[in-house]
Amino acid sequence: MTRFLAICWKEFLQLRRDRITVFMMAGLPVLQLLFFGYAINTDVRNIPTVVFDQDGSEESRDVVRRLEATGFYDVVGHVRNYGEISRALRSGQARVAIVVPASFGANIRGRLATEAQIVVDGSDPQTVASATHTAASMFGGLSMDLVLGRLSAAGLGRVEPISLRPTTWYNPELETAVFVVPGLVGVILTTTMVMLTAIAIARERERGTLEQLIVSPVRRIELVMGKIIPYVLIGYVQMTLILSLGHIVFDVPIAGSVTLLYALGSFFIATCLAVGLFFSTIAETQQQAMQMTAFYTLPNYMMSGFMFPFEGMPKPAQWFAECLPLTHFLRIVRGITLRGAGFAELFPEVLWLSGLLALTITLTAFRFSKKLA
Amino acid sequence: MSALGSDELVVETHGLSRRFGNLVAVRDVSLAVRRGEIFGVLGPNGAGKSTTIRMLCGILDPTGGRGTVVGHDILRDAELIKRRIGYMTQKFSLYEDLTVEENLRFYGGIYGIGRSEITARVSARVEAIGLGERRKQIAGTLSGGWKQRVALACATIHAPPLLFLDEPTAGVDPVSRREFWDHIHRIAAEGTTVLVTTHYMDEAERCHRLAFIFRGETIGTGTPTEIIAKRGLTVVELETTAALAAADALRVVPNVEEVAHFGPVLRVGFRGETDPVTVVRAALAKKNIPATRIELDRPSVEDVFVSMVREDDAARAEREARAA
Repeated sequence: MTRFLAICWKEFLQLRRDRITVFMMAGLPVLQLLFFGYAINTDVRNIPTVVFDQDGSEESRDVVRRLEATGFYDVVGHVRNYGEISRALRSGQARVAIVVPASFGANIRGRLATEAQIVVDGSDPQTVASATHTAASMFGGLSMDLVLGRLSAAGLGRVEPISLRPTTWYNPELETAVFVVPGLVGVILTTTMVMLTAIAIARERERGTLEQLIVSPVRRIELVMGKIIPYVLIGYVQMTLILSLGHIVFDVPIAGSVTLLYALGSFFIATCLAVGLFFSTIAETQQQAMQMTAFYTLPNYMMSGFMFPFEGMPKPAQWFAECLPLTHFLRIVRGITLRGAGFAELFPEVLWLSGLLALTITLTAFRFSKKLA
Repeated sequence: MSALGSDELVVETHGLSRRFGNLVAVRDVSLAVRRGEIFGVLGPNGAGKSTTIRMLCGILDPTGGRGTVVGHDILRDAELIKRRIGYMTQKFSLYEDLTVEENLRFYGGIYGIGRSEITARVSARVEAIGLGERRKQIAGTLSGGWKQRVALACATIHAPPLLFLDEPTAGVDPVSRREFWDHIHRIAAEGTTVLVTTHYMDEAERCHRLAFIFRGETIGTGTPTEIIAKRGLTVVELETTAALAAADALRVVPNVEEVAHFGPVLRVGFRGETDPVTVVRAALAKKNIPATRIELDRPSVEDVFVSMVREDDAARAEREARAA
């Protein structure tokens, strides 16, 4: 116990003197929170749009007004031919062009088949999807109105369309921040926890103090735990910082039990720290430890469901992603904060994390030796 | 106080060896260190001194041979050894971002010294090694000599019966080196056995007993006096205005092993020569080289060491020539 406490205390003293690391640990979560909360918005709105209205009729102007009213399209100019559309898209002045053909109004009045065109800049697939879906549903609605109007004008009585009423639970306003902030807890813990411990032993090795430690009677478990525990506290500080700021600044709800979140958080934090320690048993220098951390965090960010929808990945990628700790913690943290999930619902994720933790600790203990070579 | 002359062996190894892949770092090291003595391990850089110490400390497994340290087998009971030794590594490793006192407390802690006892222990070490004024200073801001003293205090915080010092005075100024050796003697007088490696030959003479390690092998053991006597060296010093010509003339004389320049003074080492002064006079007279002062001098450990290494080199060259 004395030996374990000596190491904990030393880590704490070193941390306190290392102002840059302290700043990073507090500043990084805050910065990333503001960054993701304010800047990153996956709801596509106000897409710059040019209009090529060849018709100039009442009906064509109505279409443009209706499109603008969706809030998706921001008409930035009118063009007179396809050459100008091409220039506008290529220069980035517009991402979308709406083309209304010359006979549009006349065709509608004459009850003839008619069409309009939407040209989309495909270099950003997410814009394409939003732009076309919105336009399609707007035109669908417009057609329906026309058809229903004419049916009733022809005295064909009341025809009721089927209407779909979307009801969104847990995040009714579909705020990106509400979805992103809880996930951010996992992302930030992954970066800082893995990096801190990966560096912790690599630094001792680089400075030559590791030799001094392994020649002492310190047990492996004392050394490993002494280096993990101080950072667990830091992990909880970061978690608290993100959740409370997210709650205050972005109105991110915490629907479920905070106690449960903190309790299950320990599994994830411990797994991250163990991964970091495992890296530090391989890395010769702090720089190598940093590189390994970067190598590890990338698939966690990309494949855990933090950035892209988990279900959108091909099956083999999903199987791989199940082996990433962040995948399971995201389900836990989103489950508790947004949906108010309880332990029973989250049990499979806890099981996964425990398994990953046991595996990493076993590998680390296997790799870490109190010998030099 | 001192247990000098005790026959109890604190370190005993037979044919210890260690290879790293194809490289043989230690070939055949046999040591016998008695309780209470300051035992010097001498050798040039890369001779295998540090590797030997690491094996004795239980942090590197030997690939051959056997040994016991403080009564425990180095292969089987490395962890038992670790409790009872202090080890100051070559590039000693204080935590540079901690103060002197925090370093001492930390090392006390990892040797299991509890809260109730640690303050007294730290104060005792600070007192003994004279660190009082530096107690609150951040270790990274200390000069080289001070760092070594703090490191020595850390390595002895748990009062180990055996202390390993691996080139403790490398890169330290002469005054600090002398002070450091005073501390080593004081620690030994308190009953700690000290095994110290060095390549400073003047420090060798401060040890009770010595072992030479060269190319991973022990090539001589004994007290400094014994080692010098056993080698049968005689040394003549002379002062001349034509040092280069004199050196050339003397190098070809039979039994001359070594001619070394010290400004206007030449130091001529003979092996197996009963009347070297007469031989030198004759050789210089033959070439008409003037010399003022020609007298016998006491051979040093350095003379013996150079002589041994030269002989080993010559034997090796001969073996290789025969093999080719």
